This record gives sequence, structure tokens and C-alpha cells, in this order.
Amino acid sequence: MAVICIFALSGCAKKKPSAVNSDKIEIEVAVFQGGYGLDFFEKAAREYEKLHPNVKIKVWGNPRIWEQLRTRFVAGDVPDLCWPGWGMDSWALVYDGKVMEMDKYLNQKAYDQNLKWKDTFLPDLLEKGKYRGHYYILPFNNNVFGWWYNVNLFEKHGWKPPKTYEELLKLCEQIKKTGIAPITYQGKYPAYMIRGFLIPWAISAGGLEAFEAAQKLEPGAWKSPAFLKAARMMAELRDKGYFQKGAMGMDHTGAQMEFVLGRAAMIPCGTWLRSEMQKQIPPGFRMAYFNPPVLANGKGDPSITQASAETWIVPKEAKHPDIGADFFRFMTSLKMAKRFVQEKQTLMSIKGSDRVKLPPDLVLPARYLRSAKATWDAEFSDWYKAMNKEIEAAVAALLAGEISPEECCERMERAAEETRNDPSIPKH
Amino acid sequence: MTLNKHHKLKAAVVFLAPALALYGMFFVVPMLQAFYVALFRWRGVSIAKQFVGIENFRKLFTGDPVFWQCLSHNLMFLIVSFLIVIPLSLFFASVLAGHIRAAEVYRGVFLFPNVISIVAVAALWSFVYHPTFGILNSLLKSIGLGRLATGWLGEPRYALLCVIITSIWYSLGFYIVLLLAGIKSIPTYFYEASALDGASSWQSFRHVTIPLVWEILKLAVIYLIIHTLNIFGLVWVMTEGGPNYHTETLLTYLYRQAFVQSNFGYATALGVVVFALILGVSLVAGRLMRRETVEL
Amino acid sequence: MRTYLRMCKATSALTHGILLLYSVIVAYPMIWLLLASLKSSRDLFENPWGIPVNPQFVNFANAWTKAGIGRYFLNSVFVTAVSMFFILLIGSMAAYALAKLVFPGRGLIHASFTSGMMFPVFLGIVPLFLLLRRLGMWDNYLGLITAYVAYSLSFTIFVLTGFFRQLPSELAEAGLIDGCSEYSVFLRIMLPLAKPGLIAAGIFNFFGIWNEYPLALVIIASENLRTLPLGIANLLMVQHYETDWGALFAGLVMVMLPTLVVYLIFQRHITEGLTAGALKG
Repeated sequence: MAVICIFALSGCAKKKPSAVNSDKIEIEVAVFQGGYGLDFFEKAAREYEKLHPNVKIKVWGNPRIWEQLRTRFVAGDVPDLCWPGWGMDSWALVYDGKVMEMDKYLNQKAYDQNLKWKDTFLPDLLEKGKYRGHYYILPFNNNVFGWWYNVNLFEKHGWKPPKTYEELLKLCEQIKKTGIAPITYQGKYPAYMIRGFLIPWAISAGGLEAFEAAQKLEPGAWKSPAFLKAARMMAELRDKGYFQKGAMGMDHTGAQMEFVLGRAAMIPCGTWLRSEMQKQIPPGFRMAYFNPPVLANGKGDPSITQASAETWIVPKEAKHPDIGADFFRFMTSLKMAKRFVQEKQTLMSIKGSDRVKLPPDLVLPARYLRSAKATWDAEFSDWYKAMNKEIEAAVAALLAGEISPEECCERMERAAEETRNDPSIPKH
Repeated sequence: MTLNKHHKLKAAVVFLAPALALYGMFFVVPMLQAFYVALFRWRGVSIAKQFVGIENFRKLFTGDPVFWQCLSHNLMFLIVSFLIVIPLSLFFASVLAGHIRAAEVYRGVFLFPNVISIVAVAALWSFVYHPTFGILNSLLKSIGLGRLATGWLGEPRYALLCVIITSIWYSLGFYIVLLLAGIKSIPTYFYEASALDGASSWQSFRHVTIPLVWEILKLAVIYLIIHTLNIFGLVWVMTEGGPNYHTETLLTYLYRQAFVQSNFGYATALGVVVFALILGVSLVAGRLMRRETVEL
Repeated sequence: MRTYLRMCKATSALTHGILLLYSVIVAYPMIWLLLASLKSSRDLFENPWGIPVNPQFVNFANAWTKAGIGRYFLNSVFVTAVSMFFILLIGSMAAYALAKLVFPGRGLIHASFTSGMMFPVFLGIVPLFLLLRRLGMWDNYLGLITAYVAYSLSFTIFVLTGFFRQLPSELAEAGLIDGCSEYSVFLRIMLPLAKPGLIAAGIFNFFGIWNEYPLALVIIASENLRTLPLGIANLLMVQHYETDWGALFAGLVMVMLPTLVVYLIFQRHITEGLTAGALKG
């Protein structure tokens, strides 16, 4: 019966398009379809439509959505809300005035808490989207990035996840003796090695300020003693043969396969590891997260943890930016955030959203994140793409044994200097 | 006579009009607009752009070592492909043109790789070169050369060569079929005549086959130039230009500049340079291969 | 002729050996692909070169739903067929004029067509996108096919001009004397003679358009209009997030098999064309 009514209604609607225009506003939400699919956002849209009967939300997405969004941004024909995905240079959109300034929306009340919307976010993650004093890019779900170890393997041999670099060296020697590769990495994408080795160790050697200085492009920061120490640590692991042979030639799924198949004992990766490898994880396989082992006498606080967010934007030329922003406010309500955490097994950048029964793989990352004195993210990789590429190449060259730690740092510093001296690159 | 000329002009206009209209409007005009973009600093995400004159070209030639690296990789691609593809495809084509059993089957098989998408080829060969269980390493181990086993695509020394070999594997069949068409169209009495003159098979290959397929050979060389200087998909899927730029080519660099680093103006300048380069190399090759066309 | 034959026989064993070896080099990876499409990813990584332990036909179902192979395949057939028809028609007309008719500006026009081959495809993509949108040709096949025709003309005209030039002009003149118009000379005399050239150009264009990605990506947005390369690219990306090599390879096989069939049918025509070309001398 209901179906017939709906048909009847839509039949009427078709006859009188003017009536539709006046009471139904259609908005378009474009979603990057990565490991999380579209279903959550579609369900959220249906719920929002129930609360706001005058709104109709069209959700669409695909795994390479940025390729289509880019041309649409140029043409000025944009969705009302989008998650453009990692392939989109969102900051370029901000610089070119294509992204809505979110300050006025953030000062509204949160959907289901007696707080300003902006106070419901984890502050570190929200601040990342700020440029020249205004908010543009908003965080949604977030990832903690560190190291993972094979629990069964470790238990079988009585190994413990190393807390310090010194322990790591001893452990690697033991693992190597069993014929298993101690550490593997996603060599085709050096971002994993930068986030998993270089920066955590630079922070450990020189404190968070050493990394902040590098991100701010301060002269000499990329070849500071802290970064040199980090590069030397990577070279040491390389020279002692603790990295899996040939890891440089593997992409992320290839290296992660080696890890879940037990051919490598440890791997750097974000909290998305489980969802990415879900179909391939052998029955009984257990893995657990730990923060990258730090120097025993390091300057940086050992609790410092790496967290980054998946980001959403409201395009400035959107036809209904207010509704787009409001739908996002709805999706970041505590209720929806908790639901996303449970359904999609990822953490969210909304305070308190981890107070649910977390999937086992997320318990430790959430604990690290809560007890972290500070968090960091490789934001320079989004701000300064050319410099980032050079740093990736330098790190790849270092791990491939082509250059020394000193040369690696020189090269990173040169790249930073070029970006610093280029007035056409907006600075953060 | 005047009538005839007028007639030809009218026919020429009719014959050429559709091609010129489509080509002009949907190819030449957008390309020329792109040339214009090369003079701007443009992020490629909005219509906002800033005129910078020849700055992009200046930076490309004087301030960008990666560009020269890419250029050397593409030339390496061209030279290695040329040295392997042209002789091999000539050999296979002339063998298959002969009265050999199952020639059709071989020809069909040789063109197989062209039928599968470049994505499949790249994925397939990534498994061939895979560090832990790739067929190449297994092969080396089985013939007692296990110490040569390595992580091919992650090795600065071998990565480029590995990609080049994949590209040759992919494209060789195409050149074979192209040259085969040429050789098949050579009338057999040319060979009979050369046989009557007492020519050896090498001599008839040298003095009959080569001159008579020369135009097609020229076509093959020019196609090889265009293909190797425009190489993109295979490299992008297999290595993304890594490690440390060792497989970066002109077009992967162009793509990176445009779509990853949002330097559309700069990328377009690079595109213009690639265009000039292909044009230049093709002209030189065409000139070097200039010969009297043999009319059949 | 006899020496030529003897040459073949004398080296027959060796040549057959080489041909077989190369066939294996070409075919083995494809057989591997077929086997891999029936493995689970774990099986693939643990036993990459063997027979599937437990054939996973479900891979094909997964790929079918994820890549939308069925629909995209038909779309690709349609787009490729229509594009090729117009490319060969329009291209051969232009090539004929450039090769056989005398008129002012011929050299310039020829040069402008052939230099088009040298452009990297990416270069004009954004201006083309804006143009198509303005003309209402964005996100439909009219736009995509027009773009394919425009982009393919350079090479087609380059190849066909060479073929038409080799045809004896006497035939055309004889036709004209017999009272045929330029148009019927082209259609009835020259075009059939240029068949090998049309086939050569056809092969180039078939593979080019069948696998074309960047233009289709930018011009087509609707799900139901997508072509096969877009489906494969999606499969590859999904594989990046979900690590399902089996589905990826199954998808690639599903793309490959029908293509192979099309190719095998097409191959007969190549042979006929080649024979026709060979006989005409």
C-alpha cells in the first residue's frame, strides 16, 4: 500500500515540477569509495531526509572520484558536499577559493550534544584544516599510524613488541635467525616509510619541535641532528638486513600480504590495515598495534602518536552549501560517529566516539591516542607536494642503499629550501 | 583543364571537410588552448591562472634535474626498444610470411598481449618480478643462479630495464603483424626473380624484402618513437616512476605535475616539450630513412 | 620461389624452435592469468605458479558485480564500432584527397594532420572537457565518439595516405574517363584497393579505442555509460583497498576472453585483407 502511495505521489510530482522545486531541494554528496563503501552514507542520507522532508540527498561515489571532481571543479559545477579522497589536492582547492569557509557552521550547536559543533572534534585533527585563521577542510574518520606485529609469531617465540630502538635491534637479530624477515614495508609508496620510520625517529631524537621546524621549512631543519639520527637508524636496519629483501619492490598490498602470511614479523601501517586485508587474513591470525620503538634516551615523549584524518569539504560554488554542511554536521553527531566506528571499524575524529565496544584491532590504537601527550601528522605531504615527492625519493634512495644518511638529509633540505624560496607556493 | 582543376578542388573540399572540421574543432583547438596554458601558472582546479610567460619552460630546462632524468629514461626506452623490436619483428614477420606450418596460429598468439589491457599486463609482470615468489626469481633459483635473485622493480639498477622488457613483450606482436602485412603484399615473383639470379635467402631478404617494406618499416619506427616517448600506463601501474625516479618517464612526470602536484601550467609546458621532441625525433628518423618509394 | 622455400625448409627446425619458444613466452603469462583468476589471494601468494588448490569461481561473480563487466563490455563494443566506422570513413576520404587530388594547401593540411600524432593525449583534455560541456556533448556517446574520431584522425590519415599514394593513379583516371565522378571513383575503385591499408588502420584504432582510458574518464560520468577500461580501473582501485587479487584477475580474464574472441574473428579479416593486398601486385 505504501508503495502505491509513493508511486501515486511521485506521479503527481512529475506532473507538477514547479511544486517539486518549491518543497524538495536535491543536494549532491560525492563520496570517495575506498574501503568503507557507500552504504553508511546512503543510510545516513535516508535518515536525514526523514528529519528534513524537504531535502533529497543523492549520494554517489567511486574509487577514483577525484579524477571526475577535478574537472567539475574547473567547470564550477560541483556537489554540495564531498569527500574527495586522497587523490585530490584539497589545499589547491582552498588556495583557489573553491572551498567554503566553515567557521560560521562550526559555531553552530552540535547535532546531539550541548556543545558548539567545533568543540565536538578532536582539536588536533580539526586544526589541520585551518588556513590563515579560517576552517576549510573538516576531519571525519581518522587513522592512527604506527607499527603492527604478528601476535602468534611473537607468542610462539616468546618475543615482546619492542618499546625502544635498542630493544628493536636485539629483537630483529633474534627474528632474523628464524629465517623470518623482521620488518617489511610498502616500498612502492615511500609515504609508509616516512610515516613509519623517518619522522617518528626524528621526533624521538629531537622532540616534536624538530619535526615542527621541518614542517615549517625552517632553514636546516630537514638536515638537523634529529633527522640525521633518524636516517642513520634506517640505514642501520638496512645494513643489518632487518628489512625484508625486496620490500622496495612491493606495493602496499604485496608487503601486507607478506605480513599476514607470516613471512615478515612487523610492518608499519595505519589502522585501516585490517579492513584492507580482511579477505586475506588466514583464520587464527592475530595482529596488534604498537607505537614505533623510540630511542631509550630520546628527547621526544614516547607517548607521541601519529593521527591523521580523512577529510571532507563543502565546495564554495555548491548550490546548497548550507544543507551540505548541515548533512555533514548530522553525520558527525556523536550517535552517527559511534555508529561509523562500529560499522566500519575505524576511529572517528569526534570526541567520545571511541566509547563503544571497539573491534580488537582498534583497542590499542585508541588507547595510545587517548594517552598521547601530543599527536602529529605528516601535513607537509599535503601542503608541499613537490617537496614531499623529493623527500619520498630521498627516503627510497636511502633504503635502496643508493645514498648515505647524510646525502639523504642534504637532499631533503634542498627540497625544503626550494619550496621555501618559491613565492608561488602558499605557506602554512 | 580548368574545368578539371575546379572539379578536383571541389572534390577535395568535400573529401576533406568532415575530417578538417572534427579534427580542427575537437583536437587542434583544445591543443592550442593547452599551448596557451603553458604560459601560465595554473593549479588546474579552477579557472584562476596567472600569466608567467616562458617561466615554465625556463624552469623546465634550467632548474629541473628530474626532467633530464625522465628524458634519459625515455631515450633509453626508445633505444633499447628499437634495437630489440625492429630486428625481432622483421625476423618473425619474414619467417611467418614464408610457407611455414601453423603460421596463422603463431601470428594469432603473438598478438595476444595487445588484446589484454595494459592494467592486466602490468599486474601480470609485477608478479613475474615479485621479490619473494616471482617467476623470475624462481627460475633463477632453479638453474642455480639464486644469488642473482633480487627485488627487481625495487632495485635502482634493474627497475627501468624490467619495465622496458615488459613494454617490448606487450608491443612486439603489433610490430610483427604490421610488418607481416607489408611483406605479404610483396608479389612472389620478386622472390622468384631474385632466386633466378641466384640470390641467397639473406640476399633476397636484403634486396627484396627490406626495400619493399621500407615504407612500413618507417611507419613502424615512427610508431615506436611515439610509443616510447609517450609511455605512461605501464610505468604508472608497475612502479609509479619509482624507486627514487629510476623509472620516471616524461609522461608519468607530466601526470604527477598536473594531477598530483597541481602544477597544470608546468605540466602543459612539459607536454609541449614532449610534443616538440616527438616531432623532432620523428622528422630526423624520417629523414634518415628516406628512400625512393618502390612502386609496385 | 624454390630457393625461398628451401630456405624455409633448411632452417625450419630452428625457426620452429624459436617460434615455439616465443609463443611460450607470450602465452604462459596469459595462462598464468587464467589460473590466477581461479585462486584465492592467499593461494595466489603461497602457490603462485601452481594449479589452483580449490578453484574459486566466486571470483568471477565478485568481479562481475564490482566491475560491471557485462554492461561495460557492450558499451565498449558500441563505442568502438561506431567510432571505427567514422574514423575509417572520414579518414579514408581525407587521405584519398591528400594522396591523389591536386589542390592548393595540400602539403600544409597533410602536415597539420600528421603532426597531431605527436601530441600527448593529456594535453588537451581540460579544454576539450570545457568545450564538450558547452556543446552539451559531455557525459554522452556523441561527445565520446566525436572525441575518439577527432583524436584518431591524425594517425589514420597518416597511414592511409601512404596506402593511397601507392595505388596507381591510372586506375582513377581510367574511371574518370569512363564517366565516373570523383566520388564513385573513390568509393568503387580506390577504397576497395586500399583495403589492406584500411585493415592496418583498423587494427591500430581498434586497440587504441578499446583500451582508451583518459578521454573516457573525463567525458563519461554516468555509471551506465562507462566503458571497459573504466571498469578495469575501478577494479584495480578496489583491489588497492580490499586486496582481492582473485577478483581483479577474474575481471581481467572476463575482459580478455571476449576480446580474444572478437580478435580471432577479426583476424580472419586481416588474413583476407592481406591476401587481397598480396594478390593485387
